[in-house]
Amino acid sequence: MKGFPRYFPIIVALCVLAFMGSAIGRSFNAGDRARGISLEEIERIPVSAGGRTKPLDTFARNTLVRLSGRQTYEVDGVRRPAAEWILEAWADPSASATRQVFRIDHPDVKSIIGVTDTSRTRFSWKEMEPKLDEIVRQAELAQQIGRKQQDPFQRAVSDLYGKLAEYAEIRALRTPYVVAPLAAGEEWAPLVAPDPTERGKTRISDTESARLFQAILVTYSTGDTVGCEKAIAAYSARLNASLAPDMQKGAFEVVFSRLEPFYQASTLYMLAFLLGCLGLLAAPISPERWKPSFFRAAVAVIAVAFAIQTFGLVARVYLQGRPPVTNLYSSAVFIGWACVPLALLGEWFSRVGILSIAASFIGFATLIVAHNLSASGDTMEMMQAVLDTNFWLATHVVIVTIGYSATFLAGFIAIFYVVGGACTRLLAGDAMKALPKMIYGVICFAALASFVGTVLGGIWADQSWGRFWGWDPKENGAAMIVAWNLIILHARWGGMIRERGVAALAIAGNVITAWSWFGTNMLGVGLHSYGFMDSAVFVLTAFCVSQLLLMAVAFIPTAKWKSLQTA
Amino acid sequence: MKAPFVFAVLTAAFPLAILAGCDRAEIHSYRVPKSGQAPTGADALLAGGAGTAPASSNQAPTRGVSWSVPSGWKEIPTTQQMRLATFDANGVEVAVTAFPGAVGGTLANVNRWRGQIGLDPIDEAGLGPLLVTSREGPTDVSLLVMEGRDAKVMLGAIIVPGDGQTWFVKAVTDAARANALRGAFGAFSRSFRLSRDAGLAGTAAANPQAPAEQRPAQQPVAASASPAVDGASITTRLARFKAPEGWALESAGGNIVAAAFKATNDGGGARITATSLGNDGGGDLANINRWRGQLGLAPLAAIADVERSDLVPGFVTVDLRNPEGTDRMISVIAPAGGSTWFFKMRGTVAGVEAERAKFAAFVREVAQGATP
Amino acid sequence: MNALLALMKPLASLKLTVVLLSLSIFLILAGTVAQVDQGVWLVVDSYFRSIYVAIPFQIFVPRKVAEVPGILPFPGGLTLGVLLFFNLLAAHLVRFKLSWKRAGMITTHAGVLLLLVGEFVTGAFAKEGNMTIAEGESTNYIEDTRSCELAVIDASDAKEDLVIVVPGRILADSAGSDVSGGELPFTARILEWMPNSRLLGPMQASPAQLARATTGFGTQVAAVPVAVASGVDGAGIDAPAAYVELRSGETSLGIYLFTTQLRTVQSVDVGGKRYDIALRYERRYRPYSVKLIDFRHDRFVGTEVARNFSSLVRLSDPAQNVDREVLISMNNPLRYAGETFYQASFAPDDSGTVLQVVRNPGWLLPYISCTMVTVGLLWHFGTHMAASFRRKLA
Repeated sequence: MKGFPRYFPIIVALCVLAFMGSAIGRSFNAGDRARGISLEEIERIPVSAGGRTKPLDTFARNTLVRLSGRQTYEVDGVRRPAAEWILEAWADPSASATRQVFRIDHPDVKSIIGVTDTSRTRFSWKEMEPKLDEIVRQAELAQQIGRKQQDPFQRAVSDLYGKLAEYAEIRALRTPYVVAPLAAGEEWAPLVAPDPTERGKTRISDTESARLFQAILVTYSTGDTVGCEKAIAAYSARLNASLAPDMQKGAFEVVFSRLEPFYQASTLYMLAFLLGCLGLLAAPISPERWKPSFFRAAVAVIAVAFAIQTFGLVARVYLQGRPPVTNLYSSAVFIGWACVPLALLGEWFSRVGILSIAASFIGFATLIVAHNLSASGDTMEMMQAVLDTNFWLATHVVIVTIGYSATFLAGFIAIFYVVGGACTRLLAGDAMKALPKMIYGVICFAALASFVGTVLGGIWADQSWGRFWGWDPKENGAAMIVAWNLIILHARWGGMIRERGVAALAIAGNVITAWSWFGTNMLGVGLHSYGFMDSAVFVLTAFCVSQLLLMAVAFIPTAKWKSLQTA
Repeated sequence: MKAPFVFAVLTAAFPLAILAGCDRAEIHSYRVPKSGQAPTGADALLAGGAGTAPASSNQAPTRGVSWSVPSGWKEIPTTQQMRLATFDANGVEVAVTAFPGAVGGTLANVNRWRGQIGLDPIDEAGLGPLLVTSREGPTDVSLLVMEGRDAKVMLGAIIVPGDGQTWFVKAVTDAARANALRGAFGAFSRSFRLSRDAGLAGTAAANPQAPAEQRPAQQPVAASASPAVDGASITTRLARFKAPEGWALESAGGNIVAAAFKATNDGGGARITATSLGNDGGGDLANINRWRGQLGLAPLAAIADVERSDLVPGFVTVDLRNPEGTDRMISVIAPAGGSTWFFKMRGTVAGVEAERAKFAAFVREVAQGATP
Repeated sequence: MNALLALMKPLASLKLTVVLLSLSIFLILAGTVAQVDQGVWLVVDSYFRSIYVAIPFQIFVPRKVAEVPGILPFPGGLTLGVLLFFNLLAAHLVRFKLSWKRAGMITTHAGVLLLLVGEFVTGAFAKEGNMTIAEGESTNYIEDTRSCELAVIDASDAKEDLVIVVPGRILADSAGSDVSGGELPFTARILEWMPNSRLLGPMQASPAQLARATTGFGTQVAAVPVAVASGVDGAGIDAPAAYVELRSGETSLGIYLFTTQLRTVQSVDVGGKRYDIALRYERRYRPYSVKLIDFRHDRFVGTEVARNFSSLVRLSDPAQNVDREVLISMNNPLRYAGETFYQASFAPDDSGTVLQVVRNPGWLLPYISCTMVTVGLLWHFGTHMAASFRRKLA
């Protein structure tokens, strides 16, 4: 390897690092202003929603994501930060009502509000106002039957109703809880709450923090720039005195939200994937120079992406004070995170390059899955007491998730092996020998991690409610993964299958893992269910079918495998 | 030799173990010491499962709900087990019952009642016009009046106060008495509340993280209609206020800025706002000093130092100009019940001067209810 | 012994292992999907702790899509577990050879054997129940809400009650026929048995429904059958009910409605002697009692999400000279007299607590087995990994 190809990986790594450096720099001060007032400090003001203290910025972002599917909103075609949206909802409701933030996809729901333009998906409160009665009526009709019996229209109209209700709650200042507990004995409270003494009336909180917060709203509403900045400073100073830990975490969380480490990591994984593919394509043309150069560049980019993803995970642990896996969203992030070093280790062993492609692909794919799971809002929501921090629970979720990751990894390497080996010549030579060994090794590891993780879950359950094993769907899913890995290992030890068979069964492992990870949730049963996801059923089915098709490829006789044919 | 032996022993042990593990299912008896307390306490509890509180319970109905009894109604002792209360409302019997869960849904309950007075069942479409549904705090109330075959009229209410039960209030009488009873019957039905803490119950609805389907139904329309702070009459008058010539409504219906107008005139124009706060907004002096700050004026030490204007008699009014002599602001502080309203006009000196009279009329009409 | 060896050889085959594991995966899948319609404990009993199970094809297809008739006969969890146990045992006995290289696998498989035994012991011997206590009151029995019983109580003795118990299983099996025998002072004709029911109040029930019972509260309320709670409903509990005619010889003592939903005790006169009767969840009385002093339920601000719940109780066992206060909270159970008390649930208005009480003689086995398997696997794969690393670095 000489000349430019030798320096190419270093150049790529430096570019990526520079890019990340500037992203980090920007996230410390975005410099957003609204009405001439810097949003920097307003975004950090803590509020409480869903039982968690979070910066106003996070609340605004999560709400916007739930309503519109985006973290920002548009004013006259220009993207504006979420905090400005929530401030506008309080300060200037008539303007806020014209913002198109309510996402509606179902054509029948659109026709309820009298829109025939099918290309539009986001609508404003004002557009829907004349039809509110009808929306409410439809939603109430839909809500009289259970969520599971609802048809897509009923579900969509219920969702829209929920969004409108949520917006109304925010606009009326009943949510989030903005009144911070500054004195002992105080609790987070809403600024406006129903008056307990007189029905139909509301009461505005009159504590010190309520006054300070109101001062910000009043000055912001009236366009009093100087007064508003003073009011923000006064409230921040008071909060720093009483709620220093929350303020510190809040400031960090704002930076975290702006940096979007998982988004950055996913773009880098994509880049690494492309570099890896270039390496494969370069293999026949420039096997000594460009092929290793591209692969090295891919590994370098993966390393940077992995570092950022690790930072994101650590940041979540710090912000939440809980183990890295707390819900479906975080399990997706974690599975990808655990796969990447495993694949890189395999790469180090085999030096076939293909594993860096697998690593970047899994890293990218799991982050995309995670992104789609975050649409319900706060990904750091509070958990039921039974799922509270506990040594056994923490080790269980982490290890079992690593087990899931390894099973997936084995499956994905097997896909590369089968498709690459049978349909292309790219794997001819060492790779065809190294990959089956990697698959086998990863399955051994997966069997170990999934078994230990599952049993740790049992111990946690035994500690918590005296039932080691309850045949709960999520537990059953874990047991199926363990059993599947054991089947592969025993079948291989017994000589029933060889390289091709192991690969085919490892691909089937993807189906079983996907079922255990998502399918069991879709049944909506049991303590472990994190929630029901609608369109996910379709995605899961499609995924399983695709895996079965890939498995079929493995049954092409070895004589026909292109990578095994001598040129 | 050893291995097969171990195997044989274990093989034999399994059926024995299976037999040992079998439960007996036969009629048997035992003696227990008489306990002092009957299981009354346990009656109130639901038999719960692991880790979760089921939404609907198997328990017999209990009084977790309070209500206010209209004057003239007398509670009469009830002999029926499922009845929680019976009232004598000037000769008409009003019965209160409660059952766990949704009891089959509204339609089923209405049809059950229709059956009792000899009417045919209706379908979902027929239900809408029959019911008057309202929401009182955390409580959902559906009221209905039905005339039966034998000229009897039934007043009914289906109430969901949020305690996991559905409550029913029912009275059957002749048309004249039913008409007389309607008002009190409705008020009584709407007074049902969870007795634990009415204020707290409302906060569940405010939880944005709860998935929509778990949240109790709420009316976004109602929530948006008015800020509903004290001094509701000001809100009402403000909503009815017709902007005079030259004023254009900029925004309305906000929580803080209830209305904003832009006045155009030859002097440079002015902006008029009406703002409400649920308390005194920090006190008159703090507000006046805040306004002074906006115009670049030094704060005052005491309220006595404030130079008041007599533009709108009866309220604290200040008329301020910035040191450069370009900007002017007239502000009126109007306390109303527990809340405070601020009426403000800000603009160029000449622009404000031109709108003075209109502004004074605006404040008098909205804050004092003076007829224009 | 040679014959045994001949039997063990095929039993020890790895092919059998793979087949059994594959069958197990399918059984687990079926037993998971079946929970959409059925209660988890019914599924556990019929799929995982049974010798044979008839799997309806319908469970794999949503009813909305199509009605599918037919069943698939399948070995139950007990059969598969026992076969796996002997397959594993035979494999090791046939090929037993102690060496450092095999030590990992032997430990692992011994651990797996123990795990199978543990689940078997749990299935056969473990008892779970609830203790429901209102604040300020005490309870001396454990209820099992998964099964019910008809209790006939003779309270004539001043000190002790004689409780004659008819297990719910007998009632269910006898639907349409008579139950008698034991110390039962009368014959009970089970007119209708409802595994799960809903109560209709006096205004809800039709006159015909109210006329079904001739005496007791059944004349004011009626019960109608509903589908049994499925695993989907979470901690759904069935509320059984029955219409029962009590007879003494040829004379009818009346038709009663019995239901677990009402704890009101009904009584009957048999030959001048009074008996109290109630259908209730199966009770197991204990020599000790637990009194609830205080129940705490903290929620996250502004939500109904539980942050923590705990019960301060007084445990008294006069025979053992025990009388002490204990705080039971999430993950902090009380262990006493072979039973463990977990904080499980609470009354809807926080006026009482529900403790889950578990007696499981095999509770330690999974811990031992888990340790053995983990150590064994780490040893086995670790030595292989180390060898690979050595080769790689060499």
